[in-house]
Amino acid sequence: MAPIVGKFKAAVNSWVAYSAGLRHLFHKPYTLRFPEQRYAVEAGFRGRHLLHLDRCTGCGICAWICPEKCITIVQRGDRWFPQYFYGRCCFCHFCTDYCPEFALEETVEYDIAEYTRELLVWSPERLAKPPAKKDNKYVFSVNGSRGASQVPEQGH
Amino acid sequence: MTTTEKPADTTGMQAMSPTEPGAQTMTLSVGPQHSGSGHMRLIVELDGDIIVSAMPDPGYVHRGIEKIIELRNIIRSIPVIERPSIIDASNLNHAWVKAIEELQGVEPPARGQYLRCLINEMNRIMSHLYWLSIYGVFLGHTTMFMWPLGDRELFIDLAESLTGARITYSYLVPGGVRRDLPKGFAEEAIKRTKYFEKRLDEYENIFFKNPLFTSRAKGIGILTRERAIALGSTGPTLRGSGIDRDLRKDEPYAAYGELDFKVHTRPGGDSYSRAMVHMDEMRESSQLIRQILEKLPSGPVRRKAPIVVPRGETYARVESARGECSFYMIGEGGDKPYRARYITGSYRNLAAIPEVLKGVRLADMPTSWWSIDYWPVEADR
Amino acid sequence: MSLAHEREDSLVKTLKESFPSDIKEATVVRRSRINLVVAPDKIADIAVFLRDKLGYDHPSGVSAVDYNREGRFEIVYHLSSIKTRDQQDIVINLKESVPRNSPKAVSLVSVWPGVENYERESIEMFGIQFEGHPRPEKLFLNDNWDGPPPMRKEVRFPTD
Repeated sequence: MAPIVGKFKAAVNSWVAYSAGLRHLFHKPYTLRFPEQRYAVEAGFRGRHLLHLDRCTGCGICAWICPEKCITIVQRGDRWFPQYFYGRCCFCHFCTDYCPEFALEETVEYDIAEYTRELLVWSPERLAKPPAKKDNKYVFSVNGSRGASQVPEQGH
Repeated sequence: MTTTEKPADTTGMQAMSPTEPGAQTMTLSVGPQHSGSGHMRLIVELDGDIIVSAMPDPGYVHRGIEKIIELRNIIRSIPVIERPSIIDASNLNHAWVKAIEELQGVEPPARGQYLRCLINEMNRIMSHLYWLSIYGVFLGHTTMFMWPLGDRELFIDLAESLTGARITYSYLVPGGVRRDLPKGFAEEAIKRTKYFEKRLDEYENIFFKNPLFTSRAKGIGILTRERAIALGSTGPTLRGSGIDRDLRKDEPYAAYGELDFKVHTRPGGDSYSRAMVHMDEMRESSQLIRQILEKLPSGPVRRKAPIVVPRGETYARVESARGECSFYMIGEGGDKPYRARYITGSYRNLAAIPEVLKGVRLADMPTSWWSIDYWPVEADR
Repeated sequence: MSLAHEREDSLVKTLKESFPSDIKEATVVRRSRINLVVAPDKIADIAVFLRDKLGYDHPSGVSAVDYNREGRFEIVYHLSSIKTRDQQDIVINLKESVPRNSPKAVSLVSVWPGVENYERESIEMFGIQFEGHPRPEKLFLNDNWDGPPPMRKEVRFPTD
């Protein structure tokens, strides 16, 4: 008796497994086509840094706390500013946390890949520019009809 | 691949013919290119397709983290501490800050403790989901590879709004956590955990009850209760052998003493039991996230803590996704520890791999050893 | 949390009574942490006593510490108990010191099979020899590593 029950159970469970998968057959894909469809991150995301040149005193605490040593302090006239090498940065933003003058800030800009190593060195002037506005924003949500997926951002 | 003859028989007994079992074994090297997840090698001795002995050969992703953290200050060490297991970053980070806080005598504020538990439980789910997806692909179940990785996004996205980073948070610092909850986090998290629990039911239907999985996991890869204790196993591996040890209950740290949860065990000690322990823990963690958000006290999240490791020694441990993660830290008053011994869950479970694989067929090898949830990078450190 | 440590104190008392001359130091560091400094030649007996009589059957790890200014290595076995339910949170740090110029210790793999990997790591990282270890080979380092044991204090790296 037991083997028959076991086989019956296995057949039922196989069918349960199939039906669980089949229900998802006609859904749209989860993924985004990246450069065309962009994922929107919330404010407070630890992207690249924004440097406020007027507040920076060039004290070098950011360079001291940096785990990857990607910050060099460079001279501009009679003042000193941090220069970032994003090839090494791990985006921990301890520099932002430890800045006594609040001269550093997180931005939502995360796509900062470049073709050469030299272009990954961000001078103070480049860091001071606010991030460019990008469109085609998608956000992640569980409110949609199919459950969790990327949906276009509301009110955009 | 090499074939070795057994040493000549000196007892005068007739030599066995090569077709008989045990007459000839074959040594097979599995890895080091991603035999599972991460680079490690298993040297497997086979008799036919039955594994006679298996010897793990770790070290392909050894980074010398114990040396690195002796040479840099405690804040600069935090990203390094997380790197061994970035899918379980905050739990490892918690062990580090706990060791420092024990030496400094700093106690984080209550809200900070709850937020630590929150990110830890989110990380436990993420880590188990990653484990589950690899487990699915080892069984040839591609849907189970895709679904958990997709649903990880539920919690990665939450963690991103909480900490600002998707995977490597560096969120826990000595004295508390770095940020408070953003607006609307609690409602979103409750919605997502409920959705996630519905998804877990679907996982059960498509995978955990599926004969494809049960027939290859039940009764295979057995780690008995006695061996699990003697080999010092920990985490889901230990609980899968029927021992209810969970540091969150045994030695409550952060806010776990005030939270209500169950420690899930399975008595079998086989691959199935270990897999189901992971499954149950995901449900429990999901429930815990809601509970933490309900009980969350108000107040500051961080207390001032100096960048200094005072003189003294401590042994701090937390329950990470893969088991006990501990730091044996010796300070001498500088900004870096004199010695920080870093023992992770995977490193402790490394000893269980030969035990689990003994007597298993080669085709069942990936599922058996992956049920231990051994993460090579975390073991090598 | 109470300041009294009855469980810890009674453990220390039992240990001191059983090995009056071999235990150099037995202290309760804080709640649920006990430090036990023992003579290196008697560590195997004390280990068996800890495992069989006190129920410390679950090895949590082995650490080696290089005290180069004092000319010694300290080997620390972190032990916890599964057998004794009410001592689930206690960790005993069983310590022994070996001289730095001839670092030889007794392997405790025969007592706790789980310490094999940790002792192997101490062998390659500190150059400590464990007598009676079943596989005294390299664990994490390359098999052809011929430099000094890298975790010793005199080995410095120029990067930091």
